[in-house]
Amino acid sequence: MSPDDPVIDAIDQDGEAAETALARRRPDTPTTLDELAAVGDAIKMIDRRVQIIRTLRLASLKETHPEDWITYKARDGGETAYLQDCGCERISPLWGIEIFHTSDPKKIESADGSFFWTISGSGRSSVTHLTVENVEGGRASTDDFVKGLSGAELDLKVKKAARANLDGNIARSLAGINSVPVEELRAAWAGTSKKVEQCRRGRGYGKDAAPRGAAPTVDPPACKACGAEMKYKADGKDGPVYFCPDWKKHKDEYTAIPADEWIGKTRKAAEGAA
Amino acid sequence: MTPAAIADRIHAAWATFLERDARQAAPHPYVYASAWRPCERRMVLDCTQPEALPPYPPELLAKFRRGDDRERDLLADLIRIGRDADPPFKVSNQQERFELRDRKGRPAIVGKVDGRLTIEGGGRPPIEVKAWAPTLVEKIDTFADLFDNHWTRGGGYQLLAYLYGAAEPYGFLLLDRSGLPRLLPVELNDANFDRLEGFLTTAERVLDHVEAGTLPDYYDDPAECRRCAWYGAVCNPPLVYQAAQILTDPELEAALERREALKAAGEEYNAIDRTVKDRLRGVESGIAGAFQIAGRWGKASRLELPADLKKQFTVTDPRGRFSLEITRLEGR
Repeated sequence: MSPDDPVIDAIDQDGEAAETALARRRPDTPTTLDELAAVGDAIKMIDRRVQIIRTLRLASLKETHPEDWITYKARDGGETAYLQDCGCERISPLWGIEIFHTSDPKKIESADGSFFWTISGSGRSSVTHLTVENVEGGRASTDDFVKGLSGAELDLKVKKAARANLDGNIARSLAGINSVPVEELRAAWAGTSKKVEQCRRGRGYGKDAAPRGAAPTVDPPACKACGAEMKYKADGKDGPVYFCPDWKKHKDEYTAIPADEWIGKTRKAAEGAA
Repeated sequence: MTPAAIADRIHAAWATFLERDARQAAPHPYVYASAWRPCERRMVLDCTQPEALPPYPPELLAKFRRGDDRERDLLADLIRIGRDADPPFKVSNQQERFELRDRKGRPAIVGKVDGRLTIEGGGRPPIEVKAWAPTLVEKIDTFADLFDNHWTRGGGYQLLAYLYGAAEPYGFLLLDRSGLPRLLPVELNDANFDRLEGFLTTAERVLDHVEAGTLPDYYDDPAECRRCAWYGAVCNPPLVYQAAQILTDPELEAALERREALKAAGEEYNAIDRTVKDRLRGVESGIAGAFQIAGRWGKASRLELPADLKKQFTVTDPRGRFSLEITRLEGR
């Protein structure tokens, strides 16, 4: 090296190294395990990446509303939540979702007059650089959301919903939220007015399960302390509940009843009487 | 029949009544003045195959009907108000058709003006009546505010087209509200003229596509696409959402951590500081426990301007204010 060689190179290299180290913390920087192993703080780097994805996931859940979700209960009692297509639109900007190569929608007709619209496409997240290809979206004319519709209105609504389903499938897949444990959702909504109990219930809760939102069709219980007709509350702290409207008058005697318990008992009694 | 069943029957008959009067959309070789859209592709589809969309549901038809009723009532009131106003005016040319031609001589933008105010000793400015949702109307103080909101922007372009079509330098937008209706003056100044010219140029391009049987490129805003009637029906564009920025600066992360750690203490300090200073305002010399308090009065200048002058010199920068919400999502 001659004295005339510019030393500025060394400074530039430092700068580049620093930038690369920072860049490697990003989940969208392609890095192989070998490359990570070659740098000193590979574990830290991976931790940072995981942290970013975890924060994105939590931020995504926080963006959604209870109406966007349907909860399901497994036989072992575990509850999971499914983000509906309408909710996927809220989380797509966070993950930089891109949807492309969409096919022309295809109509599949059945002999009984019902039909199914399907459409496929690919997607990518500009945050993680994950890609999914040839994802299918589809909706049927027999689905609940088009009940009562017919003719062109039915056809168009099912067709549009098929596209929304494609967008939803891509977003769910790229954000890794095809099935979210209810407790995780609860944690993400902590400190807000959103509650898991406000989500619509899907399969697994049994016919005695209290509905969410609307009041159940069984007669409400009477308060054990004062005899007043109890009120239904879908979003009680521990799930749907019946409470006494005059509870302030007998604060020491807590009389609230879990709605599932009361509905089950009432229906069994009715079946027995029949 | 139970009262509830009678109510249901009346409700159903009402829906049928509204549906019977609904107009069937038909293809048209021009752009409706009320149909400005940010997406040209949507405007072409609106012109070429509007019949492909299902008819409006009764709920929406009822809203349209209410809007028409309010327009008729407000114009009837205006006719009476005009007799005693200073200067007096008459409401004329109600529902007068107008068209703006493009450079090729084609009718490009077509519409019907709600009316004109024939002002004694003055011009005949057009007036457009709108009965928008109260929440939208409350955010509109000036005509420029119309362009801040997706739902009102089209109405702004509509009135500008009327002004230009009527060859009047100014006009009025009458907004229905629960209190006194809000009458906004609209001038065809440079900014509005640019908007109108943009609309006319867009309409010209739309007509070129209508004539050629082609479609413009897809629009690049997913939010706009998702609320478009054509989305998923005959238009399946690629969607690109701008991602959240991933900031990897360790110093920034450390600063955010420190900020979070100090947050509660900072809030407590601010609250106590405010209470103490409110309590001690005017105390020029004092002792409290182990504390000496020394205060002094100083000059404070403020500019007191009449409201109209203040309004004249008030400039609104759409990106002048930036608010941040920083929330720790993990380890709360």
